[in-house]
Amino acid sequence: MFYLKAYLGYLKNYPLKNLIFLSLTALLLFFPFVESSSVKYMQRLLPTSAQGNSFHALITSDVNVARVSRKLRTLPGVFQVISLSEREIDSKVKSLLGTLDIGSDLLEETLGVNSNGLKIIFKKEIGVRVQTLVRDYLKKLVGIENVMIGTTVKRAMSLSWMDQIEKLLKSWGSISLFMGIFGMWFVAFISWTRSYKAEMGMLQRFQRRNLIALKAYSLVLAIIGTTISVIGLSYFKTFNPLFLGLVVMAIMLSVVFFSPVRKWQK
Amino acid sequence: MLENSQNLKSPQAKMNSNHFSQLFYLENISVVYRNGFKALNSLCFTMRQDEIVFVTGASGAGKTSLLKVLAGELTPTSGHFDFKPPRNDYFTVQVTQQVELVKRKKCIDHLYQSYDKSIYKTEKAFEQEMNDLIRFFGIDNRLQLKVGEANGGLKQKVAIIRALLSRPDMFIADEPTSSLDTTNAQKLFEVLELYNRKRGMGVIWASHNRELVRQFSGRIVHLDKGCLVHSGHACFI
Repeated sequence: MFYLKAYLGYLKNYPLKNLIFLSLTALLLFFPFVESSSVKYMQRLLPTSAQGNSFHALITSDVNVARVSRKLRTLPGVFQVISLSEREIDSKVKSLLGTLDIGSDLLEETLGVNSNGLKIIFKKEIGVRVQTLVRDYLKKLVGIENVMIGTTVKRAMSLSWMDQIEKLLKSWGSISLFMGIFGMWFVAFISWTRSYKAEMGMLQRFQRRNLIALKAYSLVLAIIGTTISVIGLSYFKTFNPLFLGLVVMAIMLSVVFFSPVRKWQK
Repeated sequence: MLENSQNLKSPQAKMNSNHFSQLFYLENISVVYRNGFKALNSLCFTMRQDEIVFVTGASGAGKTSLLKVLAGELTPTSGHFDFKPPRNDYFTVQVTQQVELVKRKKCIDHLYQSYDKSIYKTEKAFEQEMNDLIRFFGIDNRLQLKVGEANGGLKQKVAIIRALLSRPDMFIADEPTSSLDTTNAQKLFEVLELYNRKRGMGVIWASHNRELVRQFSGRIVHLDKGCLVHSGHACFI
C-alpha cells in the first residue's frame, strides 16, 4: 500500500511522462501482434508507389463518363481512373490546344464546358503495347469523335523513390519499426527513471524503511511487466520470451541505476 | 579498535579517550577532493547524542564537508571515524542548503512524505504534530502553494518541518536559516531546543553567521581552512 501510494503520488505529479512511458512499454511488449499490421499500414501510406504511366482524356458530355471509367477500371493494366475537376479540365484543354497550336478561344470554351475529363493511370511496369491497347479500347468505347486523348505521361521520378522506400520497408520494416519504438521507449524510460528516482530517493530520506527507492522502482516495473504479460497470454495465447527478457533487463538496469541511492548505515 | 583508542597520541584524542560514550568520534580526519582541495585537515571532533552543536566558519572552511562526513555521505580520505548509534534504528535527517523539494509539488504534499506508520500511531497524530509546527512557523495559509511558486523562506520552513516530522534522532542542518530572518531563526532554535530536551534529539547546525549562533545555547565548533580552531560553549567565546 505504501509503495502504491508513493507511485500514485508520482503519477499525479508527472502524468504525461507516465502516460508516454506506459504506452510505449505496452507497444513494445505487444510488438509481435502489431508488427505485420503496422508494416502494412506504412506501405498503405505510400499508395502512389504502385502507379505507372498515365494519360488524360477529354470526353464529350453526351457520353456516360461514369460507365466509361467503370469499364476502364476492370482492365487488368489500369491502376486507377480519376475524374478531373472543372479547373483541371480547363488547364488540360489549354495545354492540349497549346500543343495543337489551334489557339481559338471559342473552341477552348466549347471543349472546356462540354467535356468531362478523366485521368487514366496504368499499373507499374505495364508495357507500351498494353498501354496502346487501353487507349484504343477507350476510343472504341466512346467513339473516336467523342474523345480527345492526350499523350502518355511517364511515371514521375519522385515515385521511384517511393519504390526504394517500399523495398526498404519490405526488407527492414519490422526491424526498423522495432528499433524506432525501442529507441523512443528507451528515451522515455531514462526520463521516467530520473524523475522517479529523484522522487523516491527524496521519500527515502524521511522514512525509516530501507531501500525504498529500489523497492518502489522494481515493484512498479514488476507490476507493469506482469500485467502486460498476463494480458498478452490470455488474449493472444502466445508470448515471446524476448519481452520477458526486456522486463528482466529493465529490472537489472534499475538495480544498477539505484545502487548509489542505498542508505548508508553503520 | 580498543587498542587504537589506547594508543591515541593527539591531545584531543587523549581528552576523549573514553570515546565509546560518544556518538561521533572523529580523530585526525582529513578530506581531500579529487581536484586536490583539502576540505578537512586532521580534524578531531566528538559529539554526544543529546548535544546541540553549531559548526561555524567562513565559506570554504569545511562546514559542509564535516556535515557530510557525519551524515555518512562522504568517506574521509584519512583518519579514524567512529559512529556509535545507541539503537539499531537510529535515524538521521538532513536539511541542506539547496532545499530538496519538487517544484511541481505542493508544499503540503512534501510534509506528508514524513508520515511514517512506524513512528505515528495514526495519521491524525501525524497531522496534529504537523499542524502545530505549521502554526508555529506561521505558514498555515501558504501550504497549498506549489514549491515553484513559493519564496525561499517558505521553502526552507517546509524543508525544516518535513525533517522534524520524521522525528529524527539526529538533525543535521546546513545553513538552515539562510533565507530566514532573525525572528524565524530564533523560532527554529526554540523548536530544536524543545525537541532536544523532550526527545533527546541531537542537533548539528552549520552556519557562517557566528553572531546569530552566539545568541543560542549550545556548543560552538569553529572551523578555519579545514582545521578546528576552537570548541566550546557560546558564552565562553
